[in-house]
Amino acid sequence: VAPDTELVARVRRGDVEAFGQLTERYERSLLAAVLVNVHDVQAAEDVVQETLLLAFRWLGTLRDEGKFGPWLMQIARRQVVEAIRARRVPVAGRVDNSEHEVAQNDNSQIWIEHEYLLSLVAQLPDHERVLIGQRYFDGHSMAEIAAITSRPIGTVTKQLSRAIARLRSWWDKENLR
Amino acid sequence: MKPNAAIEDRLEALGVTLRTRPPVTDRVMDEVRRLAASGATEELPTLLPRATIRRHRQLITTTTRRLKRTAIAAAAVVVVFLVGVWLWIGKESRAWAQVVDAVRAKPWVHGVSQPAEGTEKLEMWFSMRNPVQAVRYGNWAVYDDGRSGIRQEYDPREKELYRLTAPADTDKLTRSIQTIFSDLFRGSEQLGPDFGGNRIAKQERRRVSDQGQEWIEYTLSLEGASSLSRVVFRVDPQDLLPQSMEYFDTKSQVRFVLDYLEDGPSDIYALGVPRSAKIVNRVPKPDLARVIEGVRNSRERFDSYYAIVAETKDLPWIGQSTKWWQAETLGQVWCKGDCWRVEQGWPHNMRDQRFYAPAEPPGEGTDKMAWWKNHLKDFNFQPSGVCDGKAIYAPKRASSGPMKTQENTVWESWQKINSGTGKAWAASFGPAGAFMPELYAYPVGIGKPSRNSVAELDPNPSGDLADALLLKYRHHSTNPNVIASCRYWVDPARSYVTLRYELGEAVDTKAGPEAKWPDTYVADELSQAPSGIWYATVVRRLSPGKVASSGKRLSQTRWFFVDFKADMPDTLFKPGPLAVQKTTTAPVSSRGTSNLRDIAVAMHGYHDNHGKFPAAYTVNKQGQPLLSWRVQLLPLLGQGELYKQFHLDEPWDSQHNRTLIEKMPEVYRLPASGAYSVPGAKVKDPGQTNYVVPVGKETAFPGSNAMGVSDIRDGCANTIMAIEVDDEHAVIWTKPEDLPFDSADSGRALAALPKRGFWAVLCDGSVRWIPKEFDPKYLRAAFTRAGGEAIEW
Repeated sequence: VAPDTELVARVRRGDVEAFGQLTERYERSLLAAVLVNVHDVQAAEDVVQETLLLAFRWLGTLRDEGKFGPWLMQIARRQVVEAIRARRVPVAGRVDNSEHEVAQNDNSQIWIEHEYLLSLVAQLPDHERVLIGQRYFDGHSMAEIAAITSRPIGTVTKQLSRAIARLRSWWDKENLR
Repeated sequence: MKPNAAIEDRLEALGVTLRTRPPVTDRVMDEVRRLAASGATEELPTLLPRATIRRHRQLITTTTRRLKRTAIAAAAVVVVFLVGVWLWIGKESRAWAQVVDAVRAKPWVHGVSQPAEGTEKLEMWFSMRNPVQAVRYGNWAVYDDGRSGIRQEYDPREKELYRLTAPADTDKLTRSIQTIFSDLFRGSEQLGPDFGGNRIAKQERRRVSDQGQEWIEYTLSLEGASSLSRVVFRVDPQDLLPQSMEYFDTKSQVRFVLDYLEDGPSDIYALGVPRSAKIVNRVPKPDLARVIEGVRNSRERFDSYYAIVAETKDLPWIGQSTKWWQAETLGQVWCKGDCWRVEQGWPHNMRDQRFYAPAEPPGEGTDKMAWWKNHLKDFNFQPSGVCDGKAIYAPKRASSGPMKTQENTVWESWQKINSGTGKAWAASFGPAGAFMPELYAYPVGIGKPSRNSVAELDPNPSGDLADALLLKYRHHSTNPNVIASCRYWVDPARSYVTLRYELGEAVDTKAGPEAKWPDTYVADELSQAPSGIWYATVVRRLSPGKVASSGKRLSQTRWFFVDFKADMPDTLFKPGPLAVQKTTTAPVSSRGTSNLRDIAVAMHGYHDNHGKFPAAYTVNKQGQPLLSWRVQLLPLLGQGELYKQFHLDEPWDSQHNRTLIEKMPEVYRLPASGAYSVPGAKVKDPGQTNYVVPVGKETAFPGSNAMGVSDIRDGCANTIMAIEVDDEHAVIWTKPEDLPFDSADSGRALAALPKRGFWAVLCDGSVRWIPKEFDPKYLRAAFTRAGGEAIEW
């Protein structure tokens, strides 16, 4: 598995296809990040697409090639705000109803189960959020994440454990109130 | 169990759901290649001006904080409601005769929770004689009176008292808890069979000793829709009165110490709610309640069925809608009572065709269901979810290796997503919600109004659906400035089937609410199930914000082909072993096939200009071959300057033309990556190409003679224009050399083809993966232009 730094360098040298590998690596993490504020899956996918295209256009501005993931998340956040401000996406697809009767909004029901967890993941520091996304949303193994991020597997494991512990404490705290 | 296992399970489940979405990489990369070719990448000093970034950050932070605050409040409400509903003891029954005298004299049960540090105590009361219960948490209060069917709820933040309808399954909940307590009072060995809407899957009764005190302890393990997983009662063996009750769910545990009172609260004001609280009435009027109930009945009582669901969408680039058989994806649904199974399928070559393109389109009057059943084999189906009547399961992919695409995923096991059953829960599971016809005909959004939801019925709507009833909902969301608005037109004469619905948002502005209707669903055709319940067979979705250049809103259409007589064995609904679905799938070749497509487009451009495709090669007056068709196409591929550099009257290997070999355009270069169709496809020489046409007197390129569309008598969709060969057969791009083909000696040509299959573009411009299993007889037919054969791709 090629590290992000190598792929970013290859794209900068003109190997456009290397960007496809970066895209595959992060697209589900990005979708998860966008869905926190955009509750329509197709609209969220559009935002992800825009984010990746902007990332390609602006790759020259990325200072630290090893921070491609967090940088991508920043662009995604900006695109969400833009989309909401331009009213291109519905921000309120969810309906709170004690009988589990929710608004029929095409695929948006998928996320009702997970919405709260997504909002917690969104509160993690960028580097932990990226790790959670790579592990659980994009489905990479620990060894692959270590290779992608050019970090020792022990560091990745520790950081991931810290992120999960943080999520768990937030989850428990919120639900015991 | 590891302390973090629960959160990891939730993350895994979320990941599974995310990965059911088709990947966007292909779309992104198409655009990226276009950008790269146009040199549109930029070096920007910063992404945005810093002031703008700060504003965005503030907005994001504020939104996140607001969401967090609301989530905390919502979680508190959920706890209150869960306990309230769960403990609602109601109607008198004969079981009372067996209640011990002490309880008979003190007809209220009172429970107080042990508050965790920093939390308020939770208190509840329920009457043993009347269906009345009350809950208090801090200043929050809920009072349910089953006699009137009204729930009252006080929100101290806004000092508002809401009047709401009691939950629909109140009777069932009441009866189940009543039975449990009756059993406890009798000291029964077994309790149940249900508790608060959950099935008791396992129970244990044992004697325990705690600090010198003997207890009878009942432990109930629960299965069902709510998150409640376990309840433990401790009963005093002397008087058989429960002394404590402790419930556990995946999130928390709460223990109530129980006591028995002469009197309980007579109304919600007795719980400390100020009489000055503003009353907000959300109980629907009888006519609205009747419609809501009608919709719910039709949804829940919809017949068992098997359905094939085709999804098609407008294609702005060809200026038309796809037909019912040109599916982008296909769904299959089996539904029997509370059990269902959903699978989703993609055409084998979707990446390159965008939608399913059968060799022969169906004729007029075709039985659409039968036609689809015959063409299911052309799709790769993957399981999306199954409900066995007790819980919903989604497939979990094999853990080794990163997922590449949805289509070639290998699934290894089922993962329990939640314990919900029934259509409302099916709707909450994306793939099921997307493919079940009854969920479009009877959306779960048409529900009883609630605290955050206001409903209104317009019996005489204006517009073209004047005979319908219009239901309007306004849902206050987590963002206080945004209100989700839904409008449903239902037909009271046809089992309340929904004819149209709109989901939108209304943003409160200084000038008043501003409404938008970005998402509209229209039932274009209706049909009737054997039970008489109506459903839509064609539903069109007008996508929000997606508008064609003509100004028309783009639409997606779902076509429901439903068979109510299909045989559905029970095994379909079991989350049993997952077969690894291995079909001959095409290897990824986005860039390579894009080249083929560009070549085909250029060929047709050439045809437009000259009335014929280019000849395989040009010749001089003596008939000696000079330059390849690849040179002739250059002006159509944006390489006009390069074309001008050629000496067209000289052969490819003349002293001048030789110097141009190294200038081979990218479109003729197969990407050097193992991911593409030809293994190890690194072109040996910078001037060699893997794109060739079949050359021979029976092919579309019979040497120096040029052919036109009218000469391709087998039809453009049945004739190969160009293919990708492997490195061994790569040729110098300017050289008049291609794949020689002679039907009398076809073995030689076929032997030269890549062994594992290859990509080809047909004369109609469609790109196809020709697998190694492809029948050689048909392959020969595909190479000839007028052999009289039709190909079954």
